This record gives sequence, C-alpha cells and structure tokens, in this order.
Amino acid sequence: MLKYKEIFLGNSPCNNKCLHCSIREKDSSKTDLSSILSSLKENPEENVALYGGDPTLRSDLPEIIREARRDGYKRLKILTNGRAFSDIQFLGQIMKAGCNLFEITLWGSNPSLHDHLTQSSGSFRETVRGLENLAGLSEDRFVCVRIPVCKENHPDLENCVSTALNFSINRIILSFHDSRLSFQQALPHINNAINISIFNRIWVQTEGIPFCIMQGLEQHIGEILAGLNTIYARTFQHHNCCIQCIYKDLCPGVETGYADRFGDKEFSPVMESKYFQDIRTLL
Amino acid sequence: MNKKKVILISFNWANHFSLALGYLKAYALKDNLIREKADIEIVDFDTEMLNVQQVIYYLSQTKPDILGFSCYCWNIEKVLDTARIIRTIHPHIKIILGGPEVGPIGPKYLREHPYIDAVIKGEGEITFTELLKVYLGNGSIEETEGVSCRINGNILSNPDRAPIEDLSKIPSPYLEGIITPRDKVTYIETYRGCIFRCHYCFEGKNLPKLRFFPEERVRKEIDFILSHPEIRSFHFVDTVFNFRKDRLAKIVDMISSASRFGTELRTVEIIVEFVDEVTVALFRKANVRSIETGPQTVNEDTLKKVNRFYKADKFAKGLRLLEDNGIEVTTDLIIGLPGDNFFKFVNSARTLIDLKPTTIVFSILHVLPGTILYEKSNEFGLKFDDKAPHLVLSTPDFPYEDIDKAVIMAYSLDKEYNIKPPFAEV
Repeated sequence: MLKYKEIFLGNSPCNNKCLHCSIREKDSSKTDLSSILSSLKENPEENVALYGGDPTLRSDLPEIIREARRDGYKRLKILTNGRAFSDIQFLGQIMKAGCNLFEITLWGSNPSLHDHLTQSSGSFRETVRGLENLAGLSEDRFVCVRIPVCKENHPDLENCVSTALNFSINRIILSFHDSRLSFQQALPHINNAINISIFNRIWVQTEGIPFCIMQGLEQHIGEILAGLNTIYARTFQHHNCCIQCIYKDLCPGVETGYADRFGDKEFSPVMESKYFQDIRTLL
Repeated sequence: MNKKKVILISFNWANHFSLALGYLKAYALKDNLIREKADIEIVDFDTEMLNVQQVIYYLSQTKPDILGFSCYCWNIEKVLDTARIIRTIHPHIKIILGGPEVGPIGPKYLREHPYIDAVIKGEGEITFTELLKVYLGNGSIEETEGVSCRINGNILSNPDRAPIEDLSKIPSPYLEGIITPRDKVTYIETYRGCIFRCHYCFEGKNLPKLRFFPEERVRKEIDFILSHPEIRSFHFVDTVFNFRKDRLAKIVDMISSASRFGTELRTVEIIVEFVDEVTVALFRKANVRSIETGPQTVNEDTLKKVNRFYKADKFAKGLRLLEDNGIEVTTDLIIGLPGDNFFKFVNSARTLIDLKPTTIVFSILHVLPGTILYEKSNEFGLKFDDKAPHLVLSTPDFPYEDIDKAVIMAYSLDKEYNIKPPFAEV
C-alpha cells in the first residue's frame, strides 16, 4: 500500500541467473553513482526501493543508502536475492547506512529446486543464511519474502512458504510468474500457501492472478492492495469473456501468451460481488 | 486502635501509574473517620514485569483488610486472578472493584466471581469514600449509591450516583503529595466528559457533560510538575485537548509560564479538524511534540453508524499543518467498526498513508461495557467476545475471517509504515 520511488541500480552484475528473471530491462547507462544520486534528489518522496540486478553487489550501496537518508527518505527498501546478507558484517553495514526494509526472493524450499531456478549453485544456502541473519537482528527491520510461482516450483509452494515463515518475516508475496503454468494447476497450491501463511499470522498477497480466479480470496489480490505498478516486466491481455466481467476495467487480465497455451476456459466473468464498489474505490 | 489497612491496586503498562487511584485516596482522606480509622496505600504494579504470584507475595506481607482494584479491559484478568487467590488465602479481606471494565456490568462480575464483595459504578471518588465508611462501621451498603454488591448471597444493584458536578471537591493527588510525578508517565486532567458521543467510547455516553477542574488548581498542578527537572515530558488525559481555542490558549499560557526545563508535552488527544495556524502556534508555545487523533475510519457510512466526527479536508489540512511544524501526528484506525468491511478498512489505511502522518496505529474494535455498541450490540449485529478485552468477532459486513485477515494485514502494514530508521551514519 506504500508507494516507493523505484531506483534502478543496473542490470548487472547479478550472482543469480534466474531462469524466469523478469526484472524490467532498463537502460544501464545511467546507473553510475552520480546519476543514481541525482535520481534520488529528483522529486524525493518518503519511500525508495532500490533494485537491479542485485543492489547488494554494488560496492557503493552503503553510500547510496546514506545519501538517500540525507535526502530525507524515511523508508529504504532493497529488492535482492538476499545472498549477500549471509555475510552478517555486510548486513550490519547496510543497516548502519540506514536501510532496514528488505524484499528477498525465494524460489524453493530446498537447494536443488532453488538453485536450479536461480542457476546458481549454493544460492539457496546463502539466501537462507541471509534470512537467518535478518531474523537474528535486534534492530527493527521489515522483511518481505517474494516467491515467484512457476511451473517448476508450484507443487513446492506450501513448503516454500513454510520455509520463509521460519525467519520472522513480515509479509509474503506469491507472484504468479509463468505462462507455462495454468492457474488450474497452481491454484490449489496457492490456496494452501495462503492458508499456511494466515494460520501463522503472516500477511500474504498475490500478484499476476486475474480477479476472477481469485474469487473468494479477493482480500489477497496484491493489485488491489498495492496497485498495478511493478518493477517486473509484465504484459497483460484480456479475453473475450472479460468484457462481461465487472472487474474488466480494474483487473490487469492475464499475461500475454497464456491464452494461446491454455485457452480461456478457466476464466469466468464475475457478474456481481458485494465488494465491487469498495474495490473500485481502491483502484 | 489499629487502623484498617486499605490497598488500592492498579496493574499498568509501561511503567505508568494510576491517576484514578490518586483521586480516590485524595478524596477519601478528606473524611475524618477515614483518616482516623484507615491507612490507604496505592500500589501500581507493572503488568509486564510482575506476575500474580509476586503481587500475592506483597499482599501477604502487607496484610490488607480492604483491597480495591482499578479495572480496565487490559488488566481485568490479572485483577481477577489476584483477587481470587488472595481471598482464598485470606477470606477476611474485602474485595472492591471499580473502573470502566466492571462498573457498567457490576452484577455480572459479582455473579461470575463470588470472591468480589462490591463493584463501584461510574466516577469513584464519592462512592469509594462512602463504601469505605460502610466497611469502617458507618452507614449501610444498601443505601450507598453507585454500588453493586452481594448481601446474604443476593446481588444488589443500587441506584447510580450522578457524576460529580463540582470537580473542585476532589483534591489534587499531585498537590496533596499522593502521587509523585515521573518522567513520561505524568498526566494532568483539566476536565471530565467529552464533546463527542462516539458509540465505541465510554466517555461520551457516560460522562457527557463537560465539568472543569478550577483553573487555579490546573495552574498549580502544571507548575508543580514542570518544576521537576527530571520530568522531560508529560501528558494531558483530556478527551479533546484542543476543543476550545480560548481555553487552549489559557492552558498554553500556564505551561509556557511554568516551563523552565524545556519539558515536552507529548501524545495529547486532539481533533485535527480543529487545528489551524493559531492552534499550531499555541502547540509550539506549549512545546507540544506529538499529538494523537482519529479518525478511526474514513468510511462515511461507518462514521455515521458510530457517530464519529470526521471532515476529510480539514483533517488533511490540520495534519499537514502539524507535521510541517514539527509536531508528530499519530493517527488511529479501528478494525471491525460496524459498516466497515475488509476493503473499506484498506481504504481508510490508504487514505491515512497518503496523508503521511508520523505514525498510524491500528487496533481492533473493543466492544466495551458501558458503550452504545455494547448495549446495542444486537441492533448493530455485533458479535464480540464476552471476556475482556471484548474484541469484536463479526459484524454484518465484516465476517470473522475478514476481521482476522485485516488484523494480520494491518500488523504487516504497521511494521512497514511505522518502522524507524536504524542508527544511520548520516
């Protein structure tokens, strides 16, 4: 629900080579330190999110954070794979510089799945160690775990959420991420994952799932809570049946290419909802 | 003759002390009989630091004859545990309960907890004094207004006692030396009652008429508290600190004249819609560093249902004026008000986030005894936990599962929004 000014810190380097990486490709020519510091000063807001590539691999990250604090940003968030935080001293440097909000991507509940999807051997161990280190901090911090949902990991979603819940986290995002996977296949696991998280009193929200698929789980639709803006490259389309749906102007639809693979049988237009007016107010 | 030992107990949070018990003692000591026949001690227990066994140990050592407890929804469980155990060990001890948690439903507490002897309804100063005199052998409990009690196994609910019209009759616990001011937890009350009638609140319904402590006494209290160099900040407990500008100006003058150590005024409850440039100037003069306010919800239908005052434009303008002048604003939202649902709550949260107050506090509706929502819960379709703190369970628009999810989401949002910067090298 909080709006963050997004600052891109460059596409490379990244120590993960994720099979389904979907960070928006951006012009990396303006990611030198002085350009970034200038971007921070342009229209400063209360919150800033730093993303890449992986921001933690920039040696000047503490300087960028310190400068953002000097510029008056109240909340600084880093979007990262979390591997660098396996080094507790580095994490201490980042905190000391002034950053205490983190969004960390977890692809699986075990090394073989996670490392396969990141194409980086040892990445699971380091990400989990990073989460452990964050959990062990005595300082105030906010940690969100982003779990991209794809064909390879969807049967593991329940385990992945359970793994994340071990680390005193504050939020989970289940980001539907793969047009090779049908909602029909994924939904039972997403439903279970939501139940596990709520049972453990940790908020969970989804991304990239059409509103009609989320009927009964509308409270968890991230687009309603956080808006449609995202740093992730997404192109959406509506289907013919969407024309009848009350959410046609609010729901982003499904990712382009999904219908070519699976058709539109899963989608049934929502004709009425007691929440419609309230949801429309939010969007 | 041995004096009767009376102990007044309050279980508090965060090192606070009970102003209410200070009033009870200050008023009771005006009475000759009580001064002759009783010693009154006030004991503030920190509910986080101390467990019931420690309290029982203390009471076993001090051996009171009469125990009075100040009861709120957040401490009633400890009160009942303490009262039950001490009564079992020492059956002769009289147990009196008072406060907003028990007063409105005294007979219910007496019925469910046979170790309680009496419950005081409403403002306690006069009623407690009268009841104490009864226990000291003067008067009859059946004729004591404002008391629910047990007589020969029967539960009796005496007629209510009217609120105290003339507050000058209550001596100041500070000026009488009954309460010693402490940093961060010292409160001043300049009036009782509320100009609003919010249906979820005890104050407006039960103490609607505004009654004021004498200005001279308020001035002396302020002067006394601000004369302590170790008191860095203090508070007012008035329901709406800024409800009238001329009155606010007078109090600000008192603070300004008394201030000699730069004492800060923190977390005063105000109505932001009443704030203008003049108010901000007065707040700055009084060294107000932070204020707390609603709106509890921004949903118009809900506001109407719970009779809550909120004007969106004025609220936004007042909040910005305060924040831009360095006065931290804490805004409050309540989850589960009748008329709200999950998404309406999200809308309230988003509205406040966009206004950028320093802090947003999320809480779940407590359907408190003595409030309109409690008394008309059927009419509102409210289901709530009968046991304190009386959390709402469902409303016609907000089923239990959605309230639960809203609470979990709010907890996450609270962590994200209200996070303070780590120690930064800037």
